[in-house]
Amino acid sequence: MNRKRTLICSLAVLHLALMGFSMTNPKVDSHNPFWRTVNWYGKLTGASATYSFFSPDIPRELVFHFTVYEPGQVPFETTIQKTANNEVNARLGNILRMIPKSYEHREIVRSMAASLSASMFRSYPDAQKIGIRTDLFLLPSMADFRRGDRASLMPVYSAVFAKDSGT
Amino acid sequence: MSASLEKFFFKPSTGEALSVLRIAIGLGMLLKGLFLFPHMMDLYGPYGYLQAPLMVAIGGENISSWSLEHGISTAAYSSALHVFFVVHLLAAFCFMIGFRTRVANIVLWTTQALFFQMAWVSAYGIDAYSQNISFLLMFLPVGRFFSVDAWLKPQDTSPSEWCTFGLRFIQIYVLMTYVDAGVSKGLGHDWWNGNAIWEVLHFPEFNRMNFFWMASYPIVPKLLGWGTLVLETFYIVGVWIPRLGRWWVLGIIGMHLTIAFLMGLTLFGLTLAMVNAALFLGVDRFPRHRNRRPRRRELQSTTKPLFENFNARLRRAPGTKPARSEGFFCDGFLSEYSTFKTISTVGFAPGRKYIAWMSLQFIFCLSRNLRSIWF
Repeated sequence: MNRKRTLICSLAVLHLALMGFSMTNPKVDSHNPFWRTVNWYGKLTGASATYSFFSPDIPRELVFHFTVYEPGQVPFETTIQKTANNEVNARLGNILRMIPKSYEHREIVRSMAASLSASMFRSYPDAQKIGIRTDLFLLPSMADFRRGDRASLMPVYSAVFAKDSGT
Repeated sequence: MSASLEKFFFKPSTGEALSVLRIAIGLGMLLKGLFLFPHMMDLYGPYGYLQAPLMVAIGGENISSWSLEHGISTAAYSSALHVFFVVHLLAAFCFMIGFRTRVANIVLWTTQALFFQMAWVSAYGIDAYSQNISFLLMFLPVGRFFSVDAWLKPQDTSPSEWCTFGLRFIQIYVLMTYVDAGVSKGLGHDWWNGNAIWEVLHFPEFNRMNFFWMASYPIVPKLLGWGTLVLETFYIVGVWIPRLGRWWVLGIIGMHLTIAFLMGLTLFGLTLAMVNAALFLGVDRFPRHRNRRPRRRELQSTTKPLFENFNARLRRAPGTKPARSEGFFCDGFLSEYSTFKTISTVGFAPGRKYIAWMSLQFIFCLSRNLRSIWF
């Protein structure tokens, strides 16, 4: 094996090893210069990405409904997904899936709800108020479904955000 | 053992599969960019779906929070982002068609890495695959075939050991990602008892049609869950088994197409299907099992009379009508195909122009017939 081949093979093996290592979700010291360098390389090349979609179990799903209050109009209900295409919705889904993980922490949910409401204000610039209602989607198990249970929504959060008078 | 490994990783190949992979990744990234373009400020801006201070609280500093800290106005940030996005789209297009392939690849990877850093919270599978594969392709000769570069200036298409090594490297990378996906799913309960398929198909985010009938046949989601676990976890082994490997790849492609059309993750499903097809159904999949097809020049000396005769057949005599078979408008395709078949059995290697011409004619015939069926 010549020197060039040895060098390239070693680099390739190191890259794959880093990928394999990252897939195990290791806890490393982020202040250590070595791990910081490894982390930087992993982020830059994508080697530190994990591919564990929908695993180990399917996360809980939250459903967001927004009520738009425009002056002189009847308030109407919409969803944030209606303002975007499939590809954007897939990314939005990733953001929304973060909330169920922390929906017991009221302040995080409140900040996220405010942030999402702000984006609705951009979609409906005439709106004076945006109401947000967050429900947990409860899907019965297959056995329960056979017994007559049906999907339902459990309210977990609701708020109304208004524009500042100066904006 | 070492000889087999040597053959597996370094037996010279032309690298056509890498060029096909380039087109698949380029097309996927171009479409992704076009879909995201109208919503770039929502995803990557400091006042997007997740505002910069919230992003910092969740995962530390990023470019949008840095812009806020340094007093960069939203208008300036938006203009810079638009320019950046246009550069990304141009790079993806050039990469796909193979124009200035290497430069396009470097720009594409750089912009992709920055986008990933800007919105890692919303990033998902297609971003990770795009970033990693575009990084690996930077070091490989991906513009040799099916590219504008090759059309403008003939490329060196001689078999190279690095083409095989590069292809194997990316194949192993992709297979590792499936192991990760399969093993992590297997650690939970949902994929074993069928709940995962049941829930994913009925969650409002992914629900495209009614699958409540599955509750009466719980074995169906259970088998689909087990099938997914087996397909993904053992893909790394199954793909190399002669005969079975091709079916395994088709199974994975089928799984991605199902994700694309039943869950609405169209771009993700289609891109991954294309990547798998390019990597594992391509011409370089099993170089060790394939005999090299004789080159046209090598055969020309022995089949010259046949070749000339064949060319004469292609030039239809003036005034002759195209052949028609019963109920199928074929415009001479079938008769010429049979000629081609007869000649190919004695070792004629058809040129690319001829294959392209035949394919076009076939598509034309098919479209004529489909039109007559539908209308």
